[in-house]
Amino acid sequence: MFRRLFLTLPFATPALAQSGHSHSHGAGPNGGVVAELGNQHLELVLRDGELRIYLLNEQDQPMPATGVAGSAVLQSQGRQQTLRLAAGPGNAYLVGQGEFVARGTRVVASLTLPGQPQRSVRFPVAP
Amino acid sequence: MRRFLPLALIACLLALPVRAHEGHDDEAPVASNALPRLQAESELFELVGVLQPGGLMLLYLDRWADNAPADGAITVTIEGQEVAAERLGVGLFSLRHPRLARPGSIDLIFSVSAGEEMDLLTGTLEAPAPAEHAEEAHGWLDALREAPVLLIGGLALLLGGLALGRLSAPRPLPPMVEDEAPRKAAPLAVGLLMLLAASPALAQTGVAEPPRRMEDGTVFLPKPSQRLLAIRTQATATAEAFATLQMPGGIVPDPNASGRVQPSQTGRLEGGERGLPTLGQRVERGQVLAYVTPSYTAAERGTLTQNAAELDAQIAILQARATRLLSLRGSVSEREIQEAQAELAGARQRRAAIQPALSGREALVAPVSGSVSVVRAALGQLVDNQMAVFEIVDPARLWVEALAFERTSLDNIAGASATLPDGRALELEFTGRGLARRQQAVPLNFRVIAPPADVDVGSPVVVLLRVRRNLSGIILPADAVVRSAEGPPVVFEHTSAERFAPRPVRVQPLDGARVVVTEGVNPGARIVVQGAGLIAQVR
Repeated sequence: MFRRLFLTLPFATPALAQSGHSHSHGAGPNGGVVAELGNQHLELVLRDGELRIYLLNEQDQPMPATGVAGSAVLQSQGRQQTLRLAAGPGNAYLVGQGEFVARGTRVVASLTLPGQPQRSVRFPVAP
Repeated sequence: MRRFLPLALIACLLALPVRAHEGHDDEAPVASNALPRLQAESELFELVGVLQPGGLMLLYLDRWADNAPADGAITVTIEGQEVAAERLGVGLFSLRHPRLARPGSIDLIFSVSAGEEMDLLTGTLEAPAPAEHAEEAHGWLDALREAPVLLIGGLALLLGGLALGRLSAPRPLPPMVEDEAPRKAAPLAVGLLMLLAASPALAQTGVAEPPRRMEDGTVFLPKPSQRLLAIRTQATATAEAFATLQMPGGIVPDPNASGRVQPSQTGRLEGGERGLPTLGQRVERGQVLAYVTPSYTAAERGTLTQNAAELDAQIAILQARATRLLSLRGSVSEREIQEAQAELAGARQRRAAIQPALSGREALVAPVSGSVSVVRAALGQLVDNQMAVFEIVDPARLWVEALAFERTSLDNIAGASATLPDGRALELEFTGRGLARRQQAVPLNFRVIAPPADVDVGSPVVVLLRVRRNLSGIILPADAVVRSAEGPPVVFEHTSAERFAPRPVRVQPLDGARVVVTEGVNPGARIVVQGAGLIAQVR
């Protein structure tokens, strides 16, 4: 038991030190809500039945969605569904289609950026 | 003693791997024994997952704003697989997945439903890599393998030592001299303890992590401890409040609902129909509490008796005359008969008037309804007309008298409250203030709205006067503010799921139970409103 405890020490330190990322971004350049993934920004634009995720760099400049794979979990009106995300026209954004209303929908996206492991990101709920 | 030799050798061998790890203490001196964990939060919930040794994860689900455990259900998505977390208690779940036992960074998506509310959360778990464990084990094994001479030599020495010890062992003595039982019991107990320590079942019930103060002054309080101490928070918002003024004061009875019972003359005390009233007894207005029999000097009593005797004689004469005149009706004038009868009635009235002074007694009557609060009476006691025999107070009607040492802003009083010595708050209504100074202060009177039944007249109180001068700040319960070890008052902000940061604040009392924080806390912060004193104790 003690051995395990000692072994966990070096890994527990960063876990403790990390604090919740709670600062809120303003609206994104496409009018959606912005979340942070690593050193990148992601902007979520929700319409009824359609979900778009724009990739932005730190200065909120658009980045191509080339080679990005992922899915999104949605919670809308008490129902949960998973959407597969595909690159939109011109690789400008990732898009997924489903049956949901935009209002009050909570979204968590799991994305694999080129050369990075899969990461999940939660978007703040649009007012 | 020599029998211990092989045992000691085995113990040394067993201790070897443990000792080899002690060097790691230097590498991570701050986090003494925290387990790997993840945090996830949204506007509604706060979730902490603690990875227990053995790949089991305990999930603690709380409301984001007030830190109260949230009951519900959690489904976790691990690498595209949905796993339902098992509910262990209110806001406590356990999650089992083979992926959790493997090292590396992993993102989990939590689908939370608590009552009507649903939410999605995500968090990253940095699972520990057991690589170092393997490396360590290889470390000394490899060393032995690289030097087979050492291994062989060591084993030969060990065997030689064992054989030597066996040969030179003393012959067993009779049991009277040396008892074998404890020797056998000791290694058995050691073995049992080691088994217990190594047992994975024990490890899975949750490793206790002590709360502690970090180097930056914040307090690390694990979720189990937060549950135990019932830590509750409040999301703060700026509000307007009236500025307050503190004054010393005391509880006094309402002058219209309290009274003293005093006799009007010197006399001897007698009980009423039900004896003397007792302390705390409820009496009604007009109720007879006691009697006072007047006491006279010998001269006074002589004069009275003489008057009575004279009157008695006069009545007898007048009675006889009236009777005689009445029997001669017709021969005497009617006017004479009436005069005789009037004189007789007058004499009887005078006699009746001095009768109480001779044998009568004065009734002591309660002037108001209320409770008897002072009794200075004993049967047969001589009382004079200066003495308050009983005092009566209506406990439902109490006032507070306070002394205001600064006259400023006494003219725009918005309201007032008082704090009793035990911390309870009383709401007050301002009734008036005196114009004459007393002890260099202006006396103020307040009516207590709905006084508690157990408040005593004369209790000291602290009166908080709200004046019409607006103060902008964050209103918190008084319990949220604790005094730090350095002196200034602090509140604890819930900065992340298991971290509490002390924030020095400037506070003003608002009423007995609430304070206004005017400086030191930003609106929107989560401030501990219950259990702050316990967090302050963490060292």
